[in-house]
Amino acid sequence: MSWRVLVVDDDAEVRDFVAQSVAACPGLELVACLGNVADARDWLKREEHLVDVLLTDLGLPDGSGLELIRLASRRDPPCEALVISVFGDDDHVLASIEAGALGYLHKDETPANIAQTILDMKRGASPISPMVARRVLAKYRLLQQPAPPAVNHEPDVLLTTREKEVLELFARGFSYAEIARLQDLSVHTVRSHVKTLYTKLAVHSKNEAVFEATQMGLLRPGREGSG
Amino acid sequence: MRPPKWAYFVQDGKAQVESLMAKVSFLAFLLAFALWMPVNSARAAQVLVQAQVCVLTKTGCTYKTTSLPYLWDALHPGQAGRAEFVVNFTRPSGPNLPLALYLQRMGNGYELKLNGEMLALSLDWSLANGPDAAKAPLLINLPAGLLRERNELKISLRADVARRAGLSALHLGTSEEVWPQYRQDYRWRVLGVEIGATLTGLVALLAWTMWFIRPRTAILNTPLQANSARDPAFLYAAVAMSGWCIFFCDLAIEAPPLPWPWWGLIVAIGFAIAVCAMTLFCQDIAGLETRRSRRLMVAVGLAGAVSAASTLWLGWWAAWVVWLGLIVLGFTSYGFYFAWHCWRSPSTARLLMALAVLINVLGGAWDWVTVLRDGDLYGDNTFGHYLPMFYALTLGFILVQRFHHASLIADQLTNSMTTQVQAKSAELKESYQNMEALVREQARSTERASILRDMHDGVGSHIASAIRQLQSGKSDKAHVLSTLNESLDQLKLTIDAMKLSRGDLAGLLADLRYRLEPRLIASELALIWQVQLVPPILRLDGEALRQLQYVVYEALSNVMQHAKAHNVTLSLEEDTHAISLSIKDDGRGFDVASSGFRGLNAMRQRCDAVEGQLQITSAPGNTCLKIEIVRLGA
Repeated sequence: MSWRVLVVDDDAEVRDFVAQSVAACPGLELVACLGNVADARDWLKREEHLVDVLLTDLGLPDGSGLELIRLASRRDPPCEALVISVFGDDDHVLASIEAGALGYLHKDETPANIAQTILDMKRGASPISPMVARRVLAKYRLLQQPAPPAVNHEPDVLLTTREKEVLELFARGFSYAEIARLQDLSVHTVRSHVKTLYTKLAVHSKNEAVFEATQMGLLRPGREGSG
Repeated sequence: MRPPKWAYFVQDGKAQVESLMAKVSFLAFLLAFALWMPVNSARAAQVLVQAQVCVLTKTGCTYKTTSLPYLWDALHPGQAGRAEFVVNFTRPSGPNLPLALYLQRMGNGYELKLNGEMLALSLDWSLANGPDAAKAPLLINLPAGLLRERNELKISLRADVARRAGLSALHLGTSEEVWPQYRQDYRWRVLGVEIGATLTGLVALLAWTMWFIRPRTAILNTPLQANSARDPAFLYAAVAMSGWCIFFCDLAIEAPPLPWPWWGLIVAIGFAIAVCAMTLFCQDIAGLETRRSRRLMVAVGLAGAVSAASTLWLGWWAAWVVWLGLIVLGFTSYGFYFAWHCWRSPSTARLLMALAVLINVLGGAWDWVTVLRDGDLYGDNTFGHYLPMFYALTLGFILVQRFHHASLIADQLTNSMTTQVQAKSAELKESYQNMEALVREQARSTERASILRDMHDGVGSHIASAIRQLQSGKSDKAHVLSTLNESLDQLKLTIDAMKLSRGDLAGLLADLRYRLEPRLIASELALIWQVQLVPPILRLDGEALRQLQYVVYEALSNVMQHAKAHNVTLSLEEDTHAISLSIKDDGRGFDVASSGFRGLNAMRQRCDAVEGQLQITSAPGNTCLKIEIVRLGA
């Protein structure tokens, strides 16, 4: 079977480029190409539309791609999201990961690389850059300090020693293969660590958001918010 | 021009109306005083002015007829001695009532016998330079039992030098007849003097206090000057009032704390300095005070002391009289001049002072009239003694007014200083903020300049060359594409460097590797990564990191484009005192000495800018570029 892909970008050139890269790959199937948040929201809300991967830009004309990422990750079965980014720039990538994205695509990648990144992600391997690794580390460091007491977060939300070591090696520029060798792991395991890290961060961020919203009286317990 | 000292008494605006009102009340007071003066006169029942006197001097004693009052100082100037008076009188017709004798003056010491019977005597009457019994009027009852048809009063007197010794006329009558005169005289001389002494003493105390506690003068503008100067008007007033107080005390005290000539000198000096200090106070009030007037007054005061001493010790009666005469003449003229000056440029204080001075002059003139009329040469009942009380009242008022004003000005000064300090500190704060903003702005613009330079040297030049390549039409698509890719890489690297935390060299290399990975793969160059986790070098800020990033990027580009190497090793190591970053390749190498190596100078400059040591060694198969960065205690 092939993965069904939805592309959302307001830049027609980029959208077409990404769409073509997807269409050209035998393992992927382009299901829709959209240009703004409203259309994508409507599209995602219809249950008859089946989709496995969302590729979205963040800066859309009528809103933020983050909303689409959240919407996609709440679908059943969940639709995994990747952010289309020019620079892989860490601020936006981190926000996307917290919203539920599992990585990012560079606009200047070759079509083959784009397709490969999507396939890797579906196999459990997320892309990471040293910049993102540093930001994730910093984020976890921040989370570890004040440890909100009442949140129903699992203890494994925070990093294991191994995960932390892997992240630090990424931050210092080591490649998957080098890390695997240094840590005596398979490359596949290293790659899957990244995806796990992203998921944890998203879960934790969601818990934190819910906790904070409940504290502020914005949400009644048991009902999930969209913010 | 510095404003005259009195300027603050004339407050602008309503000053004219005020000065007019002040002038009117000035005239009214003067008139009232002139009308009140002649009321003061006395009538006696029977006045005995005939007496036999025997003066006991070195030349012996003979009785001779004289008329009373007997003024010792006039008849025996500069001498001390004794005198015996015999006064005969017949009992008034009618019932045999007790009689009373009223005397204005009998002294300095006395013993009085009626028909051979001792009736009265003063304390230590015969002791030379002893107590002075002539300070108060006397009322002596003559018991009816002692009175005969013809009676003889025998009075022995002791006279000290220049102490107003003598015997006044004897007023004889029934108690009812004599009592009112005595009472009036007593009030005038004793009560009046006590009030005068108290009043002048109080004002003197007030003035001294003000002079001591009020160190700043209201007219001085700067607080620094003010601290060094006291208001001399307070001093003049204090000295004058102290002098008058001594003068009044002498009129009241029978037994002074010092023996006679010394006490006399003290009183004379008190009088002299009172007059001189009053004059200086007037000068100060009128704004006329100069160093010359101060010197003159000191001289006049000294002259007074000297002439008093001459009179008291040497018996030069004329010395004191001449000095006093000159003083009277001089100060009467000065009084008119002062009044005229105050009338010309008036203020409340000046007119008040002029009023006091004129009352004195008028009182003095009237005293002359009474002295000539009544022969009261010692001036026991003259205004002269009490006129200083007007000074005391006036001075008290002016001092309080001036003190109040000075306090107000001091308060204003404090307030304005507080305001100034607040303004200054606000200013300081603002300028500090401005400076901070300026520093921030400078840092920003420096950073901006360096980013722009990077963009110009990197992205800009790459895009420009891509455009040239497209325009020339000679370059192939792959070439243009690689140029554009390179420019995008440059842009990404510039952005990456801005996001690095301070001194994060490992992060810098990691980002560089991440961005260049596709090109490294494309150039089939194996990258050997030996980056240790080194602690950040805090002295390397964003700009320094960009400089280093450029150097490493250039080095890697050179290896990829020119070295024809298979392997490139990038290592970051920490030494005890330095961190070294090296790029080694196994390419063909180049001649380090020749300038052919592209961008070598730029690399050196950038290394210098971050105080890094660049070492390049090259041989075929082993080229090494090493940057050593000293920690500098970081």
